[in-house]
Amino acid sequence: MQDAYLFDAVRTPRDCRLQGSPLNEIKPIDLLGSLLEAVQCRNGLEGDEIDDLLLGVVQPLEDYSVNMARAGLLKMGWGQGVSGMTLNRNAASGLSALNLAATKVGAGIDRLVLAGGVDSLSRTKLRPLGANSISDPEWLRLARYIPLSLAADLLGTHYAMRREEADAYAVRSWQRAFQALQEERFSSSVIALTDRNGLPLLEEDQLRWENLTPEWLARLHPVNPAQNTPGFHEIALSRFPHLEAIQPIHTEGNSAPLTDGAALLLLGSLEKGQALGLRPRARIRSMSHCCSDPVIAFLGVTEAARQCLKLAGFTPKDVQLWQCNEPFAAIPLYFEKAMELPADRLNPNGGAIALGTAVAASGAILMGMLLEEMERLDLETGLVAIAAEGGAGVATLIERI
Amino acid sequence: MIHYKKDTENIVTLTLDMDNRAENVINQKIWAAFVPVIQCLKEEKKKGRLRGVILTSAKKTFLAGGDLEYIFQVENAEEIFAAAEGMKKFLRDLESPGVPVVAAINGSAIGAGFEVALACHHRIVLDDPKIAVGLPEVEIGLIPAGGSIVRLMWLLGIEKAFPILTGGKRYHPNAALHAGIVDELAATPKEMMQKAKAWLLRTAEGRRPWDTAGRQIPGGTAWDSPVANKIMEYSAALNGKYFDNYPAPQAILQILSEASKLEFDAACRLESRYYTELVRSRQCKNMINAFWFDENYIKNGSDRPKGFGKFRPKKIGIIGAGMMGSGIALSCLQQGLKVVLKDVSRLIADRGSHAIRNKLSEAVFKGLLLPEEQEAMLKRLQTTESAEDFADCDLVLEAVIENQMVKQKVFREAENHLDEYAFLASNSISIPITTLSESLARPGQFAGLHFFHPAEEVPLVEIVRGRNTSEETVAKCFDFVRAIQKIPIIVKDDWGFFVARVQNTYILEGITMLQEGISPAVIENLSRQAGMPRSPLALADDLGLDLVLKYEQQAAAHYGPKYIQHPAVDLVKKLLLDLGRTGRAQKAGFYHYPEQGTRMLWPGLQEILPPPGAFDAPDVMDRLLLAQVLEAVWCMQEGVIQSVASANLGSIYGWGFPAFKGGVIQYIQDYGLEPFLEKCKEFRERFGPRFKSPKLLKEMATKIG
Repeated sequence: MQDAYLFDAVRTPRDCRLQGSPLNEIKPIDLLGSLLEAVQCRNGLEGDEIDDLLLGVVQPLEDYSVNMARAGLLKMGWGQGVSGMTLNRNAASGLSALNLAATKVGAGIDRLVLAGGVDSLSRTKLRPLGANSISDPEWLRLARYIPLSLAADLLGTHYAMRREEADAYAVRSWQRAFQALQEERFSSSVIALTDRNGLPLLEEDQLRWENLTPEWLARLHPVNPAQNTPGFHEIALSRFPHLEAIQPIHTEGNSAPLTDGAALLLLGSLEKGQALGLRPRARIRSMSHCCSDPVIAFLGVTEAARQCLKLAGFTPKDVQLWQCNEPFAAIPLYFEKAMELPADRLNPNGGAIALGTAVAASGAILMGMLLEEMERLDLETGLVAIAAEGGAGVATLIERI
Repeated sequence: MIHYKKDTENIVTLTLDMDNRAENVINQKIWAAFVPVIQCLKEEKKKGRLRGVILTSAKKTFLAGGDLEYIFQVENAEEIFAAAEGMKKFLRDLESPGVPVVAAINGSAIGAGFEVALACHHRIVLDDPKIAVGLPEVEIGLIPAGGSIVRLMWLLGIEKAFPILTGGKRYHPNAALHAGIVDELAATPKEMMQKAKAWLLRTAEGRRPWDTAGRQIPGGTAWDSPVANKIMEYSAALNGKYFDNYPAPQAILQILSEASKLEFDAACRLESRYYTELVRSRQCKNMINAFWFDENYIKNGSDRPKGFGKFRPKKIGIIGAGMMGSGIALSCLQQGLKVVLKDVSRLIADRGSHAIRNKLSEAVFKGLLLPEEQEAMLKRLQTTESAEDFADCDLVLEAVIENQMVKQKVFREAENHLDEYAFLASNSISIPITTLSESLARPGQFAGLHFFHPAEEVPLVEIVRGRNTSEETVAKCFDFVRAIQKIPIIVKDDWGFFVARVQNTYILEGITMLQEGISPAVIENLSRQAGMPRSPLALADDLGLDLVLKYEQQAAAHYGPKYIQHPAVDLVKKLLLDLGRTGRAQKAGFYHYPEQGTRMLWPGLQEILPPPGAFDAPDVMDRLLLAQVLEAVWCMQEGVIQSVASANLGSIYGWGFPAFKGGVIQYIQDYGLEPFLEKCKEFRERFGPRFKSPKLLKEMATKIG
């Protein structure tokens, strides 16, 4: 196996207002197109140097029901030389795309690959109970399906987390994102979006709140549709019978809102990068994926991280910076505790609770955020870990060059 | 078998009248009889000599359900599938485009019988509350086989069809109209036929919605997001209620979901595939065993003492107008009996009659009862404060507080006014019937009649045979219980009789686990997963810990030196005596009871119990059920209960032992005798001598095997 190197990371700004956001005025294919164009310009590529585009797409409906990767490439006029495919591992899709791309480079199949994800939820009919509502009762029963929001409360109850801890995490995420935006720490990777006339649409990430206080958060009521749907509770307890009840600790305020968005990573072999004059910014050191209990759903984040460390021969102390997805506050809280991380080393620039989550792109977004922060602080090692629906976990460990 | 009559307006009336049978049933014969009839109808139609068809019955019932004895024994998948497809083919022929068919439902149409009605283009039912229609298959772990799931979905939409199909309810005419499963009511048989004819005369063609181009399922299909979300909600509700225990309602939802995306005939075949799977399932066989074979065994009077003529009760005296007394009174009134309801004052007795009136009004409101029937029932009810009014009662039953003095006092009062044929009964739960009988002038004419709360709903009564109770009195009790349409089980006058005694072992096993360091939430959750409707610790609180302890002390007294103390007793005593946590009534037991909201497990338990450790879920569930099964076998060995059928039904109706296991003795059969004995041996070694298998077990299990 040869090593795969990261050359570039780009992403669209996020704006979690969904309806009413300027992102609403841009087709998903154009979100992707803007990033393809940016990668091309920033790296002086023609386009056809790229061997493949691996793209996370989690709801292949309506505008997405084509092969989005291929469609984006065709729109760019790169369709002659570059192939593309989509893949789905829910929130881990973007990171799985990266890992698969790195594997292809490592195996010598491809030399330069784009990996990432795109989500345009404002243009998809959302379903209230889960991201994807499934009308197959047999599957729902066998999988003991419960909505993710209830799984997050289950995780919180299982690890005896309190509402105040979850709220405090939300404040921390917001404060960090606020500071990062003030200091323009994202400016090297976030690509300003324009409309078809070149008029500005959205230049940078939009913070969810102008102000946020623990007092305000504490006033929010738990919102968990599953609490009002008879049955889900009992299904969860049938898997975790040692719990008497699931304590609702999540509110709208300490859970991540959805946003439209896309992210791409450019990676390849060292030789190919040299031939094209690309600067290798980091090396993929190890990758992992795992599956854990599907009901509590989020334990995969630590399992995948541990596997990844093991493959690299690392202990948690050898990793200087960490990113993990935060669809609900309980997940980073659990991750931080289980991996015994110092608080300033995880999600240093805030996360989806403050900025919104573009589910299919989140792996590539987190990797981009990790890379830019490692460069800013001049750190050597960093790890991204993601938990996804159904108990999946995916992780990637990188080292700067 | 099928009478064919054509009138001058070219309307054919087909009257079902099976030979040598009290009612029309669905079997191969009826299909065979229909083949030439349908052929003839087709030819008549072709010649333009047929306007429409009325399908009705010459019997009291319209058409009864399928042959459960056949379903119970059939195992071959091909055979089951072919039978379901055969029935579907017949119903399809009946409804296929062309001749409009009206079902003139002159009597009950249940299960497969109602499936025939659903395959007609129009349903008119005689407005008689004695008539019931519906699809109760789900109650025996089955689903309809004739395409009714798909037809109801097309007629009503998934949202309305789902509760009808999974509820398994029997609908009286008014309720059936309201639910949308019949189209019209008729006051008299004559009006029914007139309405049927009128409908045929204004209907040119009989064509079902699913055979009509452009027609859609009301409310949409599983392709539509709102419907998909509903399906997910229904699925959560079923899974949260039944876990993996009852496959039939889950199959119904599955069929509705899948069938909504398929064309009609493919959807029907799919229904046959799920039906085949269910017929072969253990749950279905167990439920047929309980609700058909065991019920018939009881209803046929197999346990009733022989040699006594049938007792036909007319007037019942009830002492005590509380919840229990008025519930029993209601059960009697509903079956046409007269009731004298007595309490210490007329005023209190009237409260009971008021409660009865309210319950009946509710039934009228729901269309289950006609207002004039309610009035008739209330006319048969007399309230009093004087025992003199019991003078012409056939039976006087007490449902007063659980106090020996009080009970003996009311019996003495009543006895003075009764004639020599009348007998007395007590609803006592913990005072021995023999003890109560000793102060009576005619102790032989006295027995226990133990009803369960709420008496008007629970279909079980324990007949307690005291040492002095005569066989004739037992027979009379049996006939009385049957007269009010309940299931009688005859039990011995030992502590807790059958139901409370066995149920207590379930509670004690749960408490024992607590002492072993299994967390209370695990015990409560897993008991529900095992299929028990109420968890052991919650049940202990509901009964009161003093009663739980009392039963065990009575057992100790009964067995004397042979008694081995149940390991749960120490903890029960600790809660009851040291901590004063007596149960729900005092708002403190295994649970604590906040002023608002639901009860939660008492956090203080952690301090008096070993720290929660690891547990094996299947073991916990097995123990909770096995403890009951073994106690039931002891009851059989000791003659506390007379028959396997009584034990099974007593367990299901009495304390909610899982019906999908077929009841407390059928459980052994379901588990397999050898594995069951092995498990008992293992548990005996691990958890103590209470898991020793009684001698009878082997012998009895062989007999039922």
